[in-house]
Amino acid sequence: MTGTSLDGAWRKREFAPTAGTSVCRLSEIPDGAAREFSFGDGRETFRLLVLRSGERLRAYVNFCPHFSLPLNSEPDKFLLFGGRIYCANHTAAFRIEDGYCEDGPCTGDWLEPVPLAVEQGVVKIGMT
Amino acid sequence: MAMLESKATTATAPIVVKASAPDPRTHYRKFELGAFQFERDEYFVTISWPAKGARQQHRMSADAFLRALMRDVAWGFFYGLVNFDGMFGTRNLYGRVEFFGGRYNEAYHKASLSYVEQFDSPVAMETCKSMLRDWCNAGFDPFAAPAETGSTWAGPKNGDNIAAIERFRIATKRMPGLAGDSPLRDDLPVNRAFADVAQDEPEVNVEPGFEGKLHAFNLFKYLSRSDVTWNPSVTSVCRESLYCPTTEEYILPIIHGNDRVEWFIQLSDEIDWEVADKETGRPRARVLMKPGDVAAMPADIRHQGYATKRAMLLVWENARMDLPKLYETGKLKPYPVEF
Repeated sequence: MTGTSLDGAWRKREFAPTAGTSVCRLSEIPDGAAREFSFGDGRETFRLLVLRSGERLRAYVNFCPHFSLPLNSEPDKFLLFGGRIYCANHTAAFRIEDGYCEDGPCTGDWLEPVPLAVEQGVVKIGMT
Repeated sequence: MAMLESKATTATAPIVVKASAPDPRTHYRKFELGAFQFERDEYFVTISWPAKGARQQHRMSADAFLRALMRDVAWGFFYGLVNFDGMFGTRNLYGRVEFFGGRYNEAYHKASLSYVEQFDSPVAMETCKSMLRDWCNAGFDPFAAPAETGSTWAGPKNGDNIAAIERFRIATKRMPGLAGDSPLRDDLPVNRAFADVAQDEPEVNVEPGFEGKLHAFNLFKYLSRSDVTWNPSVTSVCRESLYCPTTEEYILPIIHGNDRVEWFIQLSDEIDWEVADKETGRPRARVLMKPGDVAAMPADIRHQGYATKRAMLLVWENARMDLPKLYETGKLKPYPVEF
């Protein structure tokens, strides 16, 4: 993924899914789309953001490093413009490619990457 | 499989900013966002919007406009209403943003001279940033107090100050000074107004077994090295509880109409607050805060502060995302205490 110090940080979060956990079928994420999946119960679930570009998938913890809030203010509604995903709260702009914040109130910070794997059309949590 | 959250979002269109060629006399560009038009000259910014089949014009001093615009950009449209003055401003809808002219001015709104238009936040943000880049002259820092940045904002276009308007803004994950978290500002000079503030850090002694598990820092020293005014930075994150201290000098460049209760704790010096009804702007109170004073600014007001000497203020925000709706629907009262 990014090679940042945040690689693997997601594993320490509550309800973090283990490697091999199924997320969804690949066909449930349209090309160019962002979807959210949650693991665990209650208010503090593990929120996983998955973005698809062609056959390429990117996944991050849905957690903006600016104010430690989810990137979306409404369920599954994400702001995608010009190769960036924007936080709905205060408009921090992250590169979809690697989760780097290149503009906004937490410029220089990163989204926490989560590895994915696709096996027989099913998206799963990856090993590394 | 994981729980799937409703429907997917798709849209990766590039953002286009509508800007004119530089004006032949002033060399400033004009900007458009939806039906709003923005134009600056040597002293003023003129904002116009459609009303009653014509265009309603509103004028602000360019330095006041740029100071307000800088906060709106730095704070990502912030919480609730950011009134640039009694006429023009923005309202954060978290993903969308509303620009308004006259909407929260009782007289203009009643006379049907107000106008409101919504935009995707990233689109509006790019226009705002482009205005700042083009309209801030060399030497003008919209974050600085007037005594520090002077009148370089005035006159025809004279260079730019990208370094000031795009200065690195520090995001704190838990608390400054923790490993991997934001720095303690040791590389910044002590501001002229806080030359008497002690600069030593607290001594932390722990029982065996607690090494590396306790942390403390000198908040007054940290604030004395703030290089901006009226610009909160997070110094403590505990779930949705955010401590956002700041240093204040001159006038809060916006009239803030929060969409939640906001607590103020005066740490040093004095700030005089003017408090008005959020919807109409009708005066409601004046509050002079002195060191140690605590105030809860209700969710149904707008406020603007005045500080002659640079003052330290702790702003305590609740970042819960469902709060605006809870207040709007009346499920929460706009004030935290009933007397």
